[in-house]
Amino acid sequence: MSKSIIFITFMLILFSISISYSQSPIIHKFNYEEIDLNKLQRILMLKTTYWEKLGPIQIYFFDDYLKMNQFTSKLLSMSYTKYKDYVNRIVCEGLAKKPIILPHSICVIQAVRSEKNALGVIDDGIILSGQNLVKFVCVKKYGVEGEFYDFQDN
Amino acid sequence: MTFKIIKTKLFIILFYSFCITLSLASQNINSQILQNNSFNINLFGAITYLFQNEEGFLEFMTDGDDNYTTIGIMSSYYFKNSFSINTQISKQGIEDLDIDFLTLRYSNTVNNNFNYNFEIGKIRTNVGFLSMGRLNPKNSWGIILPQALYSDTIKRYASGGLGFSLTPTYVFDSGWDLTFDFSFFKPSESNNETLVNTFYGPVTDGKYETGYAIIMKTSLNSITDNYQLYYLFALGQNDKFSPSGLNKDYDQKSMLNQIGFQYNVSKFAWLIEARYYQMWNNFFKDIGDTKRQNLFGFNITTRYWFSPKIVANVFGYWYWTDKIGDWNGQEKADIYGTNRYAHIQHDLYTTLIYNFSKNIDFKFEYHKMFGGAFIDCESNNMVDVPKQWDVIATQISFNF
Repeated sequence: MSKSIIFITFMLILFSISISYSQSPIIHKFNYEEIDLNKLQRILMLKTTYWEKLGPIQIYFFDDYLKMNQFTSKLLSMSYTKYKDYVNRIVCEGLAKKPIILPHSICVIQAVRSEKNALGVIDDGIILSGQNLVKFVCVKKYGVEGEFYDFQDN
Repeated sequence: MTFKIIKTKLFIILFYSFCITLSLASQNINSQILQNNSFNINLFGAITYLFQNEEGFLEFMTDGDDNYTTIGIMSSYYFKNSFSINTQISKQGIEDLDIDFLTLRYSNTVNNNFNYNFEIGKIRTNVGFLSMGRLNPKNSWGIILPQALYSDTIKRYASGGLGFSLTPTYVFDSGWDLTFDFSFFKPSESNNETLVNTFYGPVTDGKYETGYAIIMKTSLNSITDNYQLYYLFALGQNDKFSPSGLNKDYDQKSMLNQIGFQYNVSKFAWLIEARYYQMWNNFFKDIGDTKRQNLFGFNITTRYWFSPKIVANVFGYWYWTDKIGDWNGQEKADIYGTNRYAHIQHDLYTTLIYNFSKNIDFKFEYHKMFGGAFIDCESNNMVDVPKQWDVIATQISFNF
């Protein structure tokens, strides 16, 4: 019984791989109207782990405790240490991709711009990437109101 | 048996080779390898020392040693569509190496307000707040988890098994979400060696042949999890219990109702969970008790992050009783001819965690116990412990 279930699971895995590689690229652009604070918070809390039809979201942070602590405290109402603890538990359950910590904001920007589906936290805001577009959400005060800048990324 | 272990290891090696090959092949092996991180892998483990002299406790936890080790590996592979594979294998103390979970997961966002996940394979279930991440010692809140929520009988639910789960989530415009988790699976079988991560087992030693389990968990969460509330219902059917030393099997059915609330703000977290567990088994009738058993327990924990390096479960308390209404254990003691403290337990505990580095933690835990009992696996006799006793546990845990 258990052998056959493991076998079926394995076959399903192979099936999903073939689906994954047979898919043609999805051309997609952000619907900017849909990006709000709630959505950003859900992504950072790893509750939203897939970005519409683009696939799993990759999150990047830069390695600065004070800045990150300020960011999570104001945007998520928790300390950065507590947030990392929360994230580790979710990641280790296989419920979301592991966020990547990079040494500098520039590295975060580069990483996000090179991907079609990423979110990066930098000094004064959040940067999001789409298929051919990068969006920057300036949240200097990490409040509800944010300034939005869009720029073509070719 | 040996052949089975070799086959399991072979399967695991092949599976990991497959995943790693796939991961590398999909990344073009260039400088983009960091940015295209579809393959997550974690190696984790711990060495735990139990500084105390309660032999019954040590016998039960570690086969008599004052230490045990945990080692495991967890990996996830995220495809470019909505599928992912998640697996974890580990060896927890005296338990055999086993697959904790191996699932194919599908996630779909229908619209801004509704999404769902579907998993199939050997699934894991999280019956409570502390259940999540408990098999990875670095993510576990404490060294010895509250028996009131994770006793051996519950662990079979908590561990999951072969089956599937469906988890739809509705997100309100305010950002709060309502999640319903439905799982159907054949629980992993328990044996005398699957007790290390729990604390105390059922009051009888034996083997369970599991039937199937249904778990339904409804939770309401604020957007940043400042407030979390859940209610869980679990039903286990067609179980068969074979007490040690008796050539007789007993059918068993069990039901769990559990509720929990967690409050998180800034560096502070506070949670409370309570469970009401019932089982129906003629074994208890044969030894002079009633067929229906109803156990009750609850756990309270207060956690505070003092600094980036130090976090503590400042105060924890758990309580359980073998029977609702028998709050001091006397009623059960009269039936079984035991000390009343064998049927209830109070535990006051505190845990201090020092983050030595981002990958390594040191944990120190102290429990002041009141009551409790163990089963001697060889004689099948209940071993009482003193009315009051202490447990000191230390642990070095890592996660790379």
